[in-house]
Amino acid sequence: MTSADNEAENDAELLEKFRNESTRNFAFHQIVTKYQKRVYWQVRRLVIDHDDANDVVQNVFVKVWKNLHNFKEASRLYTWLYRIAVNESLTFIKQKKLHLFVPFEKVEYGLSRKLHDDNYFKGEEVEKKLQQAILTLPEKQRIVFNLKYFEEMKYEDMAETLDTSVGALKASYHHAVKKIEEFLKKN
Amino acid sequence: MLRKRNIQADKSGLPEHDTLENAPLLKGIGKRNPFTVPDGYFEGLPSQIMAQCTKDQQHIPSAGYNKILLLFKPQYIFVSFLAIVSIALFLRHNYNYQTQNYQSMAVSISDSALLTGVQNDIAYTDISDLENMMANQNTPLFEELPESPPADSANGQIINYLINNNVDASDIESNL
Repeated sequence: MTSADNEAENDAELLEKFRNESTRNFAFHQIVTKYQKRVYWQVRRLVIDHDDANDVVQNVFVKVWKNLHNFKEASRLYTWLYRIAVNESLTFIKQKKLHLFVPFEKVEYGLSRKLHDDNYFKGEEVEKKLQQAILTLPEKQRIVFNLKYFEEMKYEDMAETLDTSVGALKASYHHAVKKIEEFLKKN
Repeated sequence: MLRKRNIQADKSGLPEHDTLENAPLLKGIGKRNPFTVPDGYFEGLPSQIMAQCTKDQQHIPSAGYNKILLLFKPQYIFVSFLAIVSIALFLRHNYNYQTQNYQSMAVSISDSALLTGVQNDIAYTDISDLENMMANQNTPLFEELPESPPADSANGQIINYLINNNVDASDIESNL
Protein backbone atom coordinates (compact mmCIF):
# COMPACT_ATOMS: atom_id res chain seq x y z
CA MET A 1 0.00 0.00 0.00
CA THR A 2 1.43 3.43 -1.02
CA SER A 3 1.50 6.52 1.18
CA ALA A 4 -1.18 8.07 -1.06
CA ASP A 5 -3.44 5.07 -0.42
CA ASN A 6 -2.78 5.32 3.32
CA GLU A 7 -3.62 8.97 3.22
CA ALA A 8 -6.85 8.32 1.29
CA GLU A 9 -7.85 5.61 3.79
CA ASN A 10 -7.12 7.92 6.69
CA ASP A 11 -9.14 10.70 5.02
CA ALA A 12 -12.06 8.33 4.52
CA GLU A 13 -12.04 7.56 8.24
CA LEU A 14 -11.91 11.24 9.13
CA LEU A 15 -14.80 11.98 6.77
CA GLU A 16 -16.82 9.18 8.32
CA LYS A 17 -16.21 10.68 11.76
CA PHE A 18 -17.10 14.14 10.45
CA ARG A 19 -20.49 12.86 9.28
CA ASN A 20 -21.19 11.62 12.78
CA GLU A 21 -22.56 14.49 14.88
CA SER A 22 -20.85 13.34 18.08
CA THR A 23 -17.35 13.13 16.53
CA ARG A 24 -17.65 15.98 14.01
CA ASN A 25 -15.58 18.59 15.87
CA PHE A 26 -12.85 16.11 16.71
CA ALA A 27 -12.64 14.91 13.08
CA PHE A 28 -12.50 18.43 11.72
CA HIS A 29 -9.79 19.39 14.18
CA GLN A 30 -7.80 16.39 12.88
CA ILE A 31 -8.32 17.46 9.27
CA VAL A 32 -7.16 21.02 10.00
CA THR A 33 -4.11 19.77 11.89
CA LYS A 34 -3.23 17.41 9.05
CA TYR A 35 -3.57 19.86 6.15
CA GLN A 36 -2.98 23.31 7.68
CA LYS A 37 0.68 23.57 6.71
CA ARG A 38 0.22 22.47 3.10
CA VAL A 39 -2.75 24.82 2.67
CA TYR A 40 -0.96 27.68 4.43
CA TRP A 41 2.20 27.48 2.30
CA GLN A 42 0.18 27.24 -0.90
CA VAL A 43 -1.76 30.36 0.07
CA ARG A 44 1.30 32.20 1.40
CA ARG A 45 3.18 31.79 -1.91
CA LEU A 46 0.26 33.43 -3.69
CA VAL A 47 -0.56 36.29 -1.30
CA ILE A 48 3.02 36.69 0.09
CA ASP A 49 2.09 38.47 3.36
CA HIS A 50 1.68 36.35 6.51
CA ASP A 51 -1.33 38.25 7.90
CA ASP A 52 -3.13 38.02 4.56
CA ALA A 53 -2.27 34.32 4.33
CA ASN A 54 -3.62 33.78 7.85
CA ASP A 55 -6.95 35.43 6.90
CA VAL A 56 -7.24 33.41 3.69
CA VAL A 57 -6.38 30.11 5.41
CA GLN A 58 -9.06 30.69 8.04
CA ASN A 59 -11.59 31.48 5.30
CA VAL A 60 -10.56 28.30 3.47
CA PHE A 61 -11.17 26.07 6.48
CA VAL A 62 -14.45 27.81 7.40
CA LYS A 63 -15.59 27.12 3.83
CA VAL A 64 -14.45 23.51 4.17
CA TRP A 65 -16.39 23.19 7.44
CA LYS A 66 -19.56 24.47 5.78
CA ASN A 67 -19.26 22.31 2.66
CA LEU A 68 -17.55 19.12 3.78
CA HIS A 69 -20.89 17.34 4.21
CA ASN A 70 -21.39 17.84 0.43
CA PHE A 71 -17.97 16.41 -0.46
CA LYS A 72 -18.65 13.35 -2.65
CA GLU A 73 -15.17 11.78 -2.47
CA ALA A 74 -15.04 11.70 -6.28
CA SER A 75 -11.74 13.56 -5.84
CA ARG A 76 -9.22 13.28 -3.05
CA LEU A 77 -9.69 15.45 0.01
CA TYR A 78 -6.38 17.28 -0.34
CA THR A 79 -6.94 18.17 -4.02
CA TRP A 80 -10.37 19.51 -3.05
CA LEU A 81 -8.74 21.52 -0.23
CA TYR A 82 -6.09 22.86 -2.62
CA ARG A 83 -8.75 23.95 -5.07
CA ILE A 84 -10.57 25.92 -2.38
CA ALA A 85 -7.26 27.40 -1.22
CA VAL A 86 -6.30 28.52 -4.74
CA ASN A 87 -9.73 30.02 -5.41
CA GLU A 88 -9.81 31.83 -2.06
CA SER A 89 -6.32 33.24 -2.68
CA LEU A 90 -7.28 34.51 -6.14
CA THR A 91 -10.50 36.00 -4.77
CA PHE A 92 -8.50 37.74 -2.05
CA ILE A 93 -6.06 39.26 -4.58
CA LYS A 94 -8.94 40.39 -6.82
CA GLN A 95 -10.75 41.99 -3.88
CA LYS A 96 -7.57 43.82 -2.99
CA LYS A 97 -7.37 45.09 -6.55
CA LEU A 98 -11.02 46.27 -6.40
CA HIS A 99 -10.65 47.95 -3.00
CA LEU A 100 -7.51 49.80 -3.99
CA PHE A 101 -8.80 50.61 -7.53
CA VAL A 102 -5.49 49.52 -9.02
CA PRO A 103 -4.75 47.23 -11.97
CA PHE A 104 -3.74 43.64 -11.26
CA GLU A 105 -0.09 44.28 -12.24
CA LYS A 106 0.17 46.96 -9.55
CA VAL A 107 -1.03 44.49 -6.94
CA GLU A 108 1.72 42.11 -8.03
CA TYR A 109 4.19 44.98 -7.78
CA GLY A 110 2.88 45.72 -4.29
CA LEU A 111 3.34 42.08 -3.30
CA SER A 112 6.86 42.19 -4.69
CA ARG A 113 7.60 45.30 -2.58
CA LYS A 114 6.22 43.50 0.49
CA LEU A 115 9.02 40.97 0.23
CA HIS A 116 11.45 43.74 1.21
CA ASP A 117 9.56 44.72 4.35
CA ASP A 118 8.24 41.31 5.39
CA ASN A 119 9.51 40.27 8.83
CA TYR A 120 8.62 36.70 8.01
CA PHE A 121 10.74 36.42 4.89
CA LYS A 122 14.14 35.02 5.77
CA GLY A 123 15.35 34.14 2.29
CA GLU A 124 18.62 35.16 0.71
CA GLU A 125 18.78 37.79 -2.01
CA VAL A 126 18.64 35.19 -4.76
CA GLU A 127 15.53 33.61 -3.19
CA LYS A 128 13.90 37.04 -3.08
CA LYS A 129 14.69 37.40 -6.79
CA LEU A 130 13.04 34.05 -7.44
CA GLN A 131 9.87 35.17 -5.62
CA GLN A 132 9.88 38.42 -7.59
CA ALA A 133 10.27 36.44 -10.81
CA ILE A 134 7.29 34.24 -9.84
CA LEU A 135 5.20 37.37 -9.22
CA THR A 136 5.79 38.49 -12.83
CA LEU A 137 4.06 35.33 -14.14
CA PRO A 138 0.42 35.24 -15.26
CA GLU A 139 -1.94 34.01 -12.53
CA LYS A 140 -2.38 30.46 -13.87
CA GLN A 141 1.32 29.90 -14.55
CA ARG A 142 2.14 31.15 -11.06
CA ILE A 143 -0.20 28.61 -9.48
CA VAL A 144 1.12 25.77 -11.64
CA PHE A 145 4.74 26.70 -10.95
CA ASN A 146 4.22 26.84 -7.18
CA LEU A 147 2.39 23.51 -7.08
CA LYS A 148 4.94 21.76 -9.27
CA TYR A 149 8.21 23.35 -8.19
CA PHE A 150 7.71 23.74 -4.42
CA GLU A 151 4.96 21.22 -3.64
CA GLU A 152 6.21 18.69 -6.22
CA MET A 153 2.62 17.81 -6.95
CA LYS A 154 2.00 15.25 -9.70
CA TYR A 155 0.49 16.59 -12.89
CA GLU A 156 -2.43 14.19 -12.53
CA ASP A 157 -3.25 15.55 -9.05
CA MET A 158 -2.77 19.07 -10.29
CA ALA A 159 -5.18 18.38 -13.16
CA GLU A 160 -7.73 17.23 -10.59
CA THR A 161 -7.14 20.30 -8.43
CA LEU A 162 -7.25 22.87 -11.22
CA ASP A 163 -9.63 21.08 -13.63
CA THR A 164 -7.15 21.44 -16.47
CA SER A 165 -5.62 18.89 -18.81
CA VAL A 166 -2.20 17.44 -17.97
CA GLY A 167 -0.87 18.70 -21.33
CA ALA A 168 -1.96 22.26 -20.62
CA LEU A 169 -0.36 22.09 -17.16
CA LYS A 170 2.95 20.83 -18.57
CA ALA A 171 2.95 23.62 -21.14
CA SER A 172 2.17 26.19 -18.42
CA TYR A 173 5.02 24.92 -16.23
CA HIS A 174 7.43 24.87 -19.18
CA HIS A 175 6.63 28.52 -20.06
CA ALA A 176 6.81 29.55 -16.41
CA VAL A 177 10.28 28.03 -15.94
CA LYS A 178 11.47 29.70 -19.15
CA LYS A 179 10.22 33.13 -18.06
CA ILE A 180 11.72 32.79 -14.58
CA GLU A 181 15.09 31.78 -16.03
CA GLU A 182 15.04 34.84 -18.31
CA PHE A 183 14.11 37.11 -15.37
CA LEU A 184 16.99 35.71 -13.30
CA LYS A 185 19.42 36.22 -16.18
CA LYS A 186 18.36 39.87 -16.58
CA ASN A 187 18.44 40.61 -12.83
CA MET B 1 -11.20 32.08 -11.13
CA LEU B 2 -10.64 28.49 -12.08
CA ARG B 3 -13.49 26.89 -14.01
CA LYS B 4 -14.55 23.29 -14.32
CA ARG B 5 -13.12 21.57 -17.37
CA ASN B 6 -12.79 18.01 -18.47
CA ILE B 7 -9.42 16.58 -17.66
CA GLN B 8 -7.89 15.47 -20.95
CA ALA B 9 -4.95 13.25 -21.70
CA ASP B 10 -1.49 14.77 -22.08
CA LYS B 11 -0.97 15.80 -25.72
CA SER B 12 1.81 18.33 -25.21
CA GLY B 13 4.66 15.83 -25.66
CA LEU B 14 6.80 17.98 -23.33
CA PRO B 15 9.28 15.86 -21.37
CA GLU B 16 8.68 16.61 -17.67
CA HIS B 17 12.30 16.31 -16.49
CA ASP B 18 13.94 18.35 -19.26
CA THR B 19 12.20 21.56 -18.21
CA LEU B 20 14.54 22.28 -15.28
CA GLU B 21 17.61 21.03 -17.21
CA ASN B 22 17.23 24.09 -19.45
CA ALA B 23 17.07 26.44 -16.43
CA PRO B 24 20.42 26.25 -14.62
CA LEU B 25 19.93 29.48 -12.62
CA LEU B 26 16.60 28.32 -11.24
CA LYS B 27 17.98 24.88 -10.50
CA GLY B 28 20.88 26.49 -8.63
CA ILE B 29 18.57 28.41 -6.27
CA GLY B 30 16.95 25.25 -4.98
CA LYS B 31 13.57 24.72 -3.36
CA ARG B 32 14.17 25.94 0.19
CA ASN B 33 11.16 27.76 1.63
CA PRO B 34 12.23 31.38 2.34
CA PHE B 35 9.03 32.29 4.18
CA THR B 36 8.58 31.89 7.94
CA VAL B 37 5.69 32.19 10.40
CA PRO B 38 5.47 33.56 13.97
CA ASP B 39 6.55 31.12 16.69
CA GLY B 40 3.85 28.63 17.63
CA TYR B 41 1.61 29.72 14.77
CA PHE B 42 0.67 26.23 13.56
CA GLU B 43 0.10 25.00 17.14
CA GLY B 44 -2.63 27.62 17.68
CA LEU B 45 -4.20 27.70 14.22
CA PRO B 46 -6.52 24.65 14.52
CA SER B 47 -8.09 26.03 17.73
CA GLN B 48 -8.58 29.45 16.10
CA ILE B 49 -10.24 27.85 13.10
CA MET B 50 -12.44 25.62 15.24
CA ALA B 51 -13.56 28.64 17.28
CA GLN B 52 -14.50 30.50 14.10
CA CYS B 53 -16.34 27.50 12.62
CA THR B 54 -18.43 26.87 15.73
CA LYS B 55 -19.15 30.62 16.06
CA ASP B 56 -20.36 30.71 12.45
CA GLN B 57 -22.49 27.64 13.13
CA GLN B 58 -24.29 29.46 15.99
CA HIS B 59 -24.98 32.59 13.93
CA ILE B 60 -26.08 31.32 10.54
CA PRO B 61 -28.11 34.21 9.12
CA SER B 62 -31.32 33.48 7.20
CA ALA B 63 -31.53 33.87 3.43
CA GLY B 64 -33.85 36.87 3.80
CA TYR B 65 -31.39 38.56 6.15
CA ASN B 66 -28.64 37.97 3.58
CA LYS B 67 -30.77 39.56 0.85
CA ILE B 68 -31.31 42.64 3.01
CA LEU B 69 -27.59 42.86 3.71
CA LEU B 70 -26.91 42.67 -0.02
CA LEU B 71 -28.83 45.94 -0.45
CA PHE B 72 -26.26 47.66 1.75
CA LYS B 73 -23.26 46.75 -0.39
CA PRO B 74 -21.03 49.82 -0.84
CA GLN B 75 -21.49 49.85 -4.62
CA TYR B 76 -25.31 49.88 -4.29
CA ILE B 77 -25.11 52.71 -1.77
CA PHE B 78 -22.85 54.64 -4.13
CA VAL B 79 -25.17 54.13 -7.14
CA SER B 80 -28.24 55.11 -5.08
CA PHE B 81 -26.47 58.26 -3.91
CA LEU B 82 -25.57 59.17 -7.52
CA ALA B 83 -29.18 58.61 -8.63
CA ILE B 84 -30.56 60.85 -5.84
CA VAL B 85 -28.05 63.62 -6.60
CA SER B 86 -28.86 63.41 -10.35
CA ILE B 87 -32.62 63.67 -9.73
CA ALA B 88 -32.11 66.60 -7.33
CA LEU B 89 -29.93 68.43 -9.87
CA PHE B 90 -32.46 67.78 -12.66
CA LEU B 91 -35.37 69.13 -10.57
CA ARG B 92 -33.38 72.20 -9.51
CA HIS B 93 -32.38 72.90 -13.11
CA ASN B 94 -36.06 72.62 -14.23
CA TYR B 95 -37.24 74.98 -11.45
CA ASN B 96 -34.58 77.56 -12.35
CA TYR B 97 -35.47 77.31 -16.05
CA GLN B 98 -39.21 77.95 -15.38
CA THR B 99 -38.51 80.87 -13.02
CA GLN B 100 -36.21 82.45 -15.59
CA ASN B 101 -38.94 82.00 -18.25
CA TYR B 102 -41.56 83.86 -16.17
CA GLN B 103 -39.09 86.61 -15.35
CA SER B 104 -38.08 87.08 -18.99
CA MET B 105 -41.78 87.14 -20.02
CA ALA B 106 -42.54 89.80 -17.41
CA VAL B 107 -39.63 91.93 -18.60
CA SER B 108 -40.68 91.64 -22.25
CA ILE B 109 -44.31 92.94 -21.63
CA SER B 110 -44.55 96.74 -21.93
CA ASP B 111 -46.34 98.91 -19.35
CA SER B 112 -49.02 99.96 -21.86
CA ALA B 113 -49.84 96.33 -22.67
CA LEU B 114 -50.18 95.58 -18.98
CA LEU B 115 -52.53 98.58 -18.54
CA THR B 116 -54.73 97.47 -21.46
CA GLY B 117 -54.93 94.00 -19.97
CA VAL B 118 -56.02 95.35 -16.60
CA GLN B 119 -58.67 97.61 -18.21
CA ASN B 120 -60.05 94.67 -20.16
CA ASP B 121 -60.38 92.70 -16.96
CA ILE B 122 -62.22 95.59 -15.33
CA ALA B 123 -64.53 95.91 -18.37
CA TYR B 124 -65.50 92.27 -17.97
CA THR B 125 -66.64 92.88 -14.42
CA ASP B 126 -68.42 96.23 -15.07
CA ILE B 127 -71.64 96.19 -13.01
CA SER B 128 -73.55 98.38 -15.51
CA ASP B 129 -73.37 95.53 -18.07
CA LEU B 130 -74.90 93.22 -15.56
CA GLU B 131 -77.72 95.69 -14.73
CA ASN B 132 -78.59 96.14 -18.42
CA MET B 133 -78.78 92.42 -18.90
CA MET B 134 -81.18 92.02 -15.99
CA ALA B 135 -83.38 94.94 -17.16
CA ASN B 136 -83.81 93.33 -20.61
CA GLN B 137 -85.12 90.18 -18.99
CA ASN B 138 -87.57 92.16 -16.71
CA THR B 139 -85.95 90.72 -13.70
CA PRO B 140 -85.16 92.91 -10.75
CA LEU B 141 -81.57 92.94 -9.81
CA PHE B 142 -82.49 92.37 -6.17
CA GLU B 143 -85.85 90.69 -5.53
CA GLU B 144 -87.88 92.74 -3.06
CA LEU B 145 -89.05 90.85 -0.04
CA PRO B 146 -92.85 91.14 0.76
CA GLU B 147 -93.62 93.10 3.84
CA SER B 148 -94.98 90.95 6.66
CA PRO B 149 -98.55 91.96 7.55
CA PRO B 150 -99.37 93.12 11.05
CA ALA B 151 -100.97 90.52 13.30
CA ASP B 152 -104.42 92.31 13.48
CA SER B 153 -104.79 92.60 9.70
CA ALA B 154 -104.05 88.90 9.37
CA ASN B 155 -106.98 87.98 11.59
CA GLY B 156 -109.23 90.39 9.60
CA GLN B 157 -108.20 88.75 6.33
CA ILE B 158 -109.10 85.30 7.70
CA ILE B 159 -112.53 86.51 8.82
CA ASN B 160 -113.14 88.17 5.43
CA TYR B 161 -112.20 84.91 3.68
CA LEU B 162 -114.61 82.89 5.84
CA ILE B 163 -117.49 85.36 5.18
CA ASN B 164 -116.86 85.58 1.43
CA ASN B 165 -116.82 81.81 1.04
CA ASN B 166 -119.70 81.01 3.44
CA VAL B 167 -117.55 78.88 5.71
CA ASP B 168 -118.93 78.12 9.12
CA ALA B 169 -116.28 78.35 11.82
CA SER B 170 -118.14 75.79 14.01
CA ASP B 171 -117.82 73.22 11.17
CA ILE B 172 -114.08 73.69 11.20
CA GLU B 173 -113.90 73.31 14.98
CA SER B 174 -116.03 70.06 14.94
CA ASN B 175 -113.80 68.63 12.18
CA LEU B 176 -110.71 69.39 14.24
